[in-house]
Amino acid sequence: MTAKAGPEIRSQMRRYIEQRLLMKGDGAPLHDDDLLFTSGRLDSLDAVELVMSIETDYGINFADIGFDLTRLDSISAIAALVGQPSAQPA
Amino acid sequence: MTAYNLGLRFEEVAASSPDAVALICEGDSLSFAELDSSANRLARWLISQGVGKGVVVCLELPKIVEAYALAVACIKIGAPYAFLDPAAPAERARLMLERCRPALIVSVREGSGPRTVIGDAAARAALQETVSKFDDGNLPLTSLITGVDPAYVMFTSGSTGEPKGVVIPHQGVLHLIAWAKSDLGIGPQDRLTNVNPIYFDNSVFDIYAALLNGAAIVALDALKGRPPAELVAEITKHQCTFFFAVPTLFMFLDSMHLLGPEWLPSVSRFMFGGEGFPLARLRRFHDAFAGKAKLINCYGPTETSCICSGFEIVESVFDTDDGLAPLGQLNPNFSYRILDEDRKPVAAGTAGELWLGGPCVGLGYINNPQETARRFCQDPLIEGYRSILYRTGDLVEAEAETGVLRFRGRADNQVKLRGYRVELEEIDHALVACEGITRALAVVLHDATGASRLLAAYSGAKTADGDLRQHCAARLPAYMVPSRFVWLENIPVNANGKADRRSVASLLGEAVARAS
Repeated sequence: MTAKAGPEIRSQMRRYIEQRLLMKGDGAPLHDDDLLFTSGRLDSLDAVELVMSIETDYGINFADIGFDLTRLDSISAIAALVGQPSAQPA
Repeated sequence: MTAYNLGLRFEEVAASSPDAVALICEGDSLSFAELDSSANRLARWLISQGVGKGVVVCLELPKIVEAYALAVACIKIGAPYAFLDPAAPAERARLMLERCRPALIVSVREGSGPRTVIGDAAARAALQETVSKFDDGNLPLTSLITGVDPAYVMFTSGSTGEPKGVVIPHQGVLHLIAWAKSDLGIGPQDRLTNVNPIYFDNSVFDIYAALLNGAAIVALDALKGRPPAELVAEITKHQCTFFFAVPTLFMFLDSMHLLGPEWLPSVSRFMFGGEGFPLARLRRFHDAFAGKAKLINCYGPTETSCICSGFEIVESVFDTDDGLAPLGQLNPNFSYRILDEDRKPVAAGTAGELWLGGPCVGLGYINNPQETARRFCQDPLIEGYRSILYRTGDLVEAEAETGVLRFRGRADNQVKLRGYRVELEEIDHALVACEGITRALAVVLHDATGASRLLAAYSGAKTADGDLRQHCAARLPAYMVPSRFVWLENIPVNANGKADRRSVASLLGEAVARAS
């Protein structure tokens, strides 16, 4: 795992999420603050994939954030969480 | 006389509570009498289309009123129906239709075969107009259907690269609904959610445990494209009392802060199955509803009429270091054996493969004698007379005193993904069909909390991820499409020269971690 800057995380997450949305036939614009799960654009299957991807790529443990998906509910929220020093792996 | 088939049982309920709500769907509410009349008309229409006893009808429909009414119509005339995913890739749909050899397909999309398409409001109205001309009284031929006649065909993933259609007899479902009444207390006071996809085994429970016990079904669309809070609000609005879904859905609602008695006050029983519920997550669910609702873990292969055991979650479940809740005791009417690789009974307290017998065991895989012979076998401990058991492939251990079963893994490469049963070989086959790919192996990686994701390794021509994804999506349902593809120069093999899935899994675990 290498430390990644905020903009890079954002663009990586954006690519990943846009790809998942496209697979579901959702080509609507995606803004950094758009709600992903609360809005229903991403569902329970996407949640598992997204969580595991973030766990693998950024060393975040979902249990450590209380299994709280609302903390991953937008590109901005994910970037903020992943960018926190406390959220980095030891 | 006790009803000996599903059609007669439904007619009994309709006669005793004609005005009770049977189905809430698309904003409409149908009484038992209305659903019965509609099914009787549709049954006569089906006959006019050449459908008869023992002939398969494919229902490629979403959760619309016609889907439920046609299923009831089919059971009344003894024509086994097969619900197919209307969003399945065309190639997969073709394979399923080929196996079914249906006399009729009722679908929302165009395609091959003898087909009635009701894809829009006009087509639905036209069918309704046609059907309304038929008589709505019960059909005499319903009484000729026996308990061993087939009721439905349910498709599940197959290791040979194509889905297998399990044929389930009426008696299997009759036992299922009797269990739902006696053990789960389901009766006319209940409303059951039908959140499970209609072409997915779990919906057999939703539909029949409700209708045949005088309870109502509330048809609910899964989460696709809609806010989860809306689903929860709808369950509450319709006062659902029983909510059955896969653990993935309950964990999702929990993660969205929607799984609590303040959001789901009408639900008195939650049931989950199809995959293990990680104990750390189950603990949160249990604590949230302590004293307010029961939680039931259920287990059962599609091949043995949906569910064969259930276990109510109690505090002591969390004292074990098992990682998963017990599967429970087998329901009445199931016989079973736990056998080792040599087909000998295992010693007490040892894990072995579960073989299931009794009237709930399916009749085989439709038009697929090879696969049927492989999984539906003569009881190896019985000679001299016929006794067929279904080999589940599940490794279990039975508690000596109680008979409570605990899950200990699989004897083959079947995995559970989001509650769906997946034979990894089916994904391998799909990938190898891609030009230039010589070998492929799909594997599942798990994280510390029990979540799992699907990856694939392949050798041969290096291919762009997007192309591989597209290739798979054209052949497999979305939940079977790997989320990542890793090219390997050589796929590791074991001592016998066979591709070694376990080494590939550990290689991929490392490869994915390195890629970050």
